[in-house]
Amino acid sequence: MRSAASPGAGAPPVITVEHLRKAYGAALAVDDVSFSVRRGEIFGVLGRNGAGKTTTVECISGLRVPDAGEVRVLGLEPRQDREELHERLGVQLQQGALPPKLRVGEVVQLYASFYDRPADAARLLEGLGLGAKRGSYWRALSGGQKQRLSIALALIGQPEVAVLDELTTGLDPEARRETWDLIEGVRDSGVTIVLVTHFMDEAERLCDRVALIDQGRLLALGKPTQLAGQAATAKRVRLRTPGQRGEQILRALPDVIAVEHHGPDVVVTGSGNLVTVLVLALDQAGLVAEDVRTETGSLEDAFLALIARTGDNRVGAGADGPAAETAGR
Amino acid sequence: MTTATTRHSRSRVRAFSLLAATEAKLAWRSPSGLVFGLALPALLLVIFGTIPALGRPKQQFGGISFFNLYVPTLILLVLLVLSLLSLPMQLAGYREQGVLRRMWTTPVAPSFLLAAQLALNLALAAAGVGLILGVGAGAFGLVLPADTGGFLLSVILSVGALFALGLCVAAIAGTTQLATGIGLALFYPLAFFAGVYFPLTVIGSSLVNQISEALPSGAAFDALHASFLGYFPSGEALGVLAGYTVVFTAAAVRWFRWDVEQLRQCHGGVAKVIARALTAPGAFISDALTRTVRVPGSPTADEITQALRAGVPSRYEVQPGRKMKRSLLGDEPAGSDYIMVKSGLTGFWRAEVHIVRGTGGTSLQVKPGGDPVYSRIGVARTVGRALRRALS
Repeated sequence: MRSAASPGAGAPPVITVEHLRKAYGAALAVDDVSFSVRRGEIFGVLGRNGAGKTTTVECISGLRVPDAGEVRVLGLEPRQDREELHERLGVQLQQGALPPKLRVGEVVQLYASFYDRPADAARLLEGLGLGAKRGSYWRALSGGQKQRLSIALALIGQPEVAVLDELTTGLDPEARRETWDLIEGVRDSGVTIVLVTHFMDEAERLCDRVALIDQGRLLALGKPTQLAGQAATAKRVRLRTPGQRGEQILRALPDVIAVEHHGPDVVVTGSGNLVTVLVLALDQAGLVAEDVRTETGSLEDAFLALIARTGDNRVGAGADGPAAETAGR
Repeated sequence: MTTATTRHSRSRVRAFSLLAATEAKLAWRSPSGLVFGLALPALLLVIFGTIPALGRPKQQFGGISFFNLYVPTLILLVLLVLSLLSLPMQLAGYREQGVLRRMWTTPVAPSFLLAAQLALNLALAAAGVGLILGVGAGAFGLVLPADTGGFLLSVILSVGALFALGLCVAAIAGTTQLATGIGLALFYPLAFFAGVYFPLTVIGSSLVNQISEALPSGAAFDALHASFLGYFPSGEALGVLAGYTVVFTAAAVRWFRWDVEQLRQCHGGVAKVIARALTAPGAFISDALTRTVRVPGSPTADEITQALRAGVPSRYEVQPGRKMKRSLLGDEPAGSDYIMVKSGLTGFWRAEVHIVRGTGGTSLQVKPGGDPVYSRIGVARTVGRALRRALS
């Protein structure tokens, strides 16, 4: 993809992933994925559930052995140099519970003892807003507090790189925004962050660069704004429902990727000169398109468009293909 | 290099001691292991020790008192609870909750947590054995084993065999629930052969004795019992215990995975099969003894019923549309693809034919029931033969 002026663009990358492949039995979880992460950036690994994101970062963290390809983190091989790597790489895992009756202060102190140069536990907890919770049992924490404790454990070793997997899943909007501020704070303190997420808005808000992954393949790599800009070819047009017949006409158009219902409106995603094409097609059928509005391209549109495009290539199907189906959800 | 290594090893010692202390704290906060592993055996000791009749020597117990005979059993009760229930439940829980996975992402390996948990349970075992010996000797006149070496060797090998078995359970069980199921399914019979329910000598059956000698708890009882009587434990008993220790430790090391996903990928089915064999042996055996008769075309359920009625002796009752599973209201009705055949006065021996239609023909699965082993050589075999003769 195009290069962009991001933090640390000139320095050697802290993570390189080359032609990574990992299969579980017959199912290919990650298929020929390559990217690199630069020092000091927030790098997003973005995709739907089951796209292969977690497997990718598990290979980076040394939790899994790749079937093929090469992974280097801080110049180290994750499996061979496990101990050395984990001194310098912090990992926050998806769904990592702790013993229910362990107190916050105890668990942070315990994990601090695993590292050579741990951070100051009290300051870290204070910074994550858990200062008052030191004496609480893990089971008594709220979802957001558990997530913040999880971040604390990923940062307790003063890592150079932190991998954060599905950080805000299950959090309420306010807790999510607080977590975002927190991550930016961590990045500003000099930690490189790999953020795994399936929330497009999260990636758009936080990430310097993102890798879009679907069905184990890398779809695109670049700045969120850049990708959204590329997707200007993929537009969204909102119009008043033109009835069953009108919808069928819209779905049949070659430029249309998806048609979804939003209350009384339908939202059409597609490429090309979408508005003109839609209005003309409806007009030819003797229907009037009412209340037509275009919506600006977002990362989500880019993602949907890319999925649809690769889906077309792979299955060679039109609007009935699986990619179009998911895009239409 | 050396300085880095010593620095690492020093910090690892600190990490391990903190982990062990944390595990001890957690055990104190959720004290089920303490209650069932230490308090319950100690309570039993006090109860049996205070009943005067149980302290008198008896001919049937080889000239010693019931109380003396029961002390090795109580020691084994401590070991059984800690090794088969407490340890596997904790470890499987840690894996299920992702605690082990999280530890993998730190410089300290999850084996440290496993070792800390093992150390805690071993310390509890030592405390439990010490408590029984101390209270028994101090308050109830228990005669301690004269040959301390033989006794210690028996205890150590008993611990080895039972904890290796427990680690094996922890290795294959992906969830706390499964670990508990397998643990309990092992606990009850092994507790029986340790003499928890009643002394095995009162049965006086050589078959029971042979089974007992081959099992870890039975061999452990023999070894401990011998040392309390003042003998050095027999080589056979110690050999059996050492064998269990080696085999199950190797299996646990071979099978243990830190992560639930990886466990499932490696041997996901194994634990379920073992759990089923242990917790529902009847159904497990019945499934294993199910045979399939393949027939061409797709005969209707009526045709199959007729073929059965013609082919089996008239004392057999053929019931289309029923499964052999009994419920409170009688036999369970099922779809038309099930036919049940009953025999015997109460219809105890039975077989079930399940009709599975495929593209290339029809499979008739003949499942033995009641007593599945006997049914397999009786009614289920007759049913299979009748089906083959009439339809294949």
